[in-house]
Amino acid sequence: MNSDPSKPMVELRAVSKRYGDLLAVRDVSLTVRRGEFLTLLGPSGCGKTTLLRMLAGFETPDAGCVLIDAEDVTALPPNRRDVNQVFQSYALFPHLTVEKNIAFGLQMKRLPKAEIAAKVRHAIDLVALQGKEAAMPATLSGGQKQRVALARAIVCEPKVLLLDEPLSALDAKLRGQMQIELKNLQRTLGITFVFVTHAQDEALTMSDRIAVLHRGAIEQLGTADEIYHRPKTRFVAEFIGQANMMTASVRNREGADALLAIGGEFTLRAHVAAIPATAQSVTISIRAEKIQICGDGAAAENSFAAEIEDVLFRGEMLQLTVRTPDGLRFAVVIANTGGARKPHQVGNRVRCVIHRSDIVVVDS
Amino acid sequence: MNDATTPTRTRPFFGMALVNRLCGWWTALVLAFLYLPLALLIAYSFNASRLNVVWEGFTVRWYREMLANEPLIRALKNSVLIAGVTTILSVVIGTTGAWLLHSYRYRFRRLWEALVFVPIAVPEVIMGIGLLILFTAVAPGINGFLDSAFGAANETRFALGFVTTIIAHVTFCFPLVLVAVQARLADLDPAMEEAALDLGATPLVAFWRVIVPCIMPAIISGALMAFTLSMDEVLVTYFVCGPESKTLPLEIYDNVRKGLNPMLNAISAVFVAATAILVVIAERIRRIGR
Repeated sequence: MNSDPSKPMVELRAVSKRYGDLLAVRDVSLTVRRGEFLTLLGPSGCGKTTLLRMLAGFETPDAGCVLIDAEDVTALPPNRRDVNQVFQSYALFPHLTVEKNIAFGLQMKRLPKAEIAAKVRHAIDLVALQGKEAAMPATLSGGQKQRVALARAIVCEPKVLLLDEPLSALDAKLRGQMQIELKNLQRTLGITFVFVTHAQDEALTMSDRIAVLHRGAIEQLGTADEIYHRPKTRFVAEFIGQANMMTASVRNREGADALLAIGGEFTLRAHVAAIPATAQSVTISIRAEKIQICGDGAAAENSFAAEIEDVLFRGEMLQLTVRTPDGLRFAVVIANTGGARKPHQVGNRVRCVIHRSDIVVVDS
Repeated sequence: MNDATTPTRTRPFFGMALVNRLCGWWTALVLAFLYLPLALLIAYSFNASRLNVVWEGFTVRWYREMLANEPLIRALKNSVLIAGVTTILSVVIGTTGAWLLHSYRYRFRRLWEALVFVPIAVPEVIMGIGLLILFTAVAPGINGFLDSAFGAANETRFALGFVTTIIAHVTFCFPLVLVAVQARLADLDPAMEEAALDLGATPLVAFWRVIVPCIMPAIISGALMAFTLSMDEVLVTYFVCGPESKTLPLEIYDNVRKGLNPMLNAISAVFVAATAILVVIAERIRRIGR
């Protein structure tokens, strides 16, 4: 084993892939650290699955190369790569029992029988499938199939575990539970995970870093916190969470502050550091939950009067649409603490406050 | 089973009941049309009379006669041999063909798929004549090659016989396997093969250990259909079989030309029963696989 801990576990160097007229992946470079949980996040057709398939060996890049543990595997077929995948459909072998499904990879490696049996037992324990060893896949529930698929992949102790939207077929409750289990499993085993999903909650919950993909290219690579709070592009800001996107013109800069005018007379103060010195006009993003509603109190900085135009009951949250006298609309999400009292009703006049550090410039 | 809590089903209105009844009658008529000849055939195979039209009592004499009839038994053995070899070849060609058509994108792919069906669609007489012309055309060439390869002592000759009959049967039997397997493959999760490769299997091992078990029901039902078709076939076989490879249907046909004989009822009954069993098994397996 040539595992040099300082070297990245996975490296994509300027890979591109074209299907006919469609450039599915354009010039993507990416490194995944040893033991990292990296998520490729994006809408369908963004190229995330193609990237994963290149790592697995099911697709060959038209340009660029793929390195796994510092070894160039670009031309290596999937069966000779030290990676394993959990498929979206699980792809359990229907004619084999749970135990034999899990043992398949080890049998391909021609390990001694006793060793295979021990490893399979360990893997079954890890995913809590005791008692299901002799069951056929068709008799299992979705969650159990998911665990078998997981066990079948990790039992081979791959250098990288690839997960292709593995939770998408589960119901919401089970999905939440599996997210925690997956993350714990990854910590316990220390295996590098590359996880593909279009669901931002999965990405935000589990990942060490997230690569947001759009039209075959990486829009932003960073921690969940960075991606969420400091989106670099309009796409990232819109794709993750709920954001108010607005175009603002830069009125004047006073020390650390800049005055941004939105529409006509409506102005907000923002940190000047975020705004390029020469920019006249910028696109700003304000997360819906960063706008505070404070009854009809005193005029604080960046506060404005507005009328509640719409209220959506979302359970633990309320989703409001507020409208300023100038006609600007903001989406606002607030914790639903009201209970039976209903403090926020359509037509109510409220005061909204936006902290200046919550105004993120995504484009200029 | 009707307890107090279940509401009694409302009667359909009169017109509907009439339609239902007519449909029932129609179904019965169609089934009678299909199965009456077979039922009569089987019944008369136990008839003591030599004449089919009068019933003179139960006997198994014709079955005993049938078993003692040398040419008939030889023909049966020929048929089983030809059908057996045809089935094996059809399974191999049909399954690999279906797999190749399924996994690779060929130019003119639709054309290849259509071409596979031509031997089934073309009238059997034409297939028979075509194959006969082909075999007689290539025979001198092949025999010339065999002579030059094995020298003057060569006894192996290419002539109408088992080999030509099997080749002919394979041409219209393998598409059945191919179609059955192809339908099954179309339903198969494409990730199945990828999962096997991902776990370290070579493409060949993945095919053998994962794909083949997944499509086994289709292979078996295709094989049974191929076997049945090969056993039953008369027309093409008539053109391409030699004197020593005469099949059971041909032998029966030759006998019928000499006049109806209750022994033929007996062998036909056996034939029908065997075919029916095979068809039922094929259908069962196809359903289990779904």
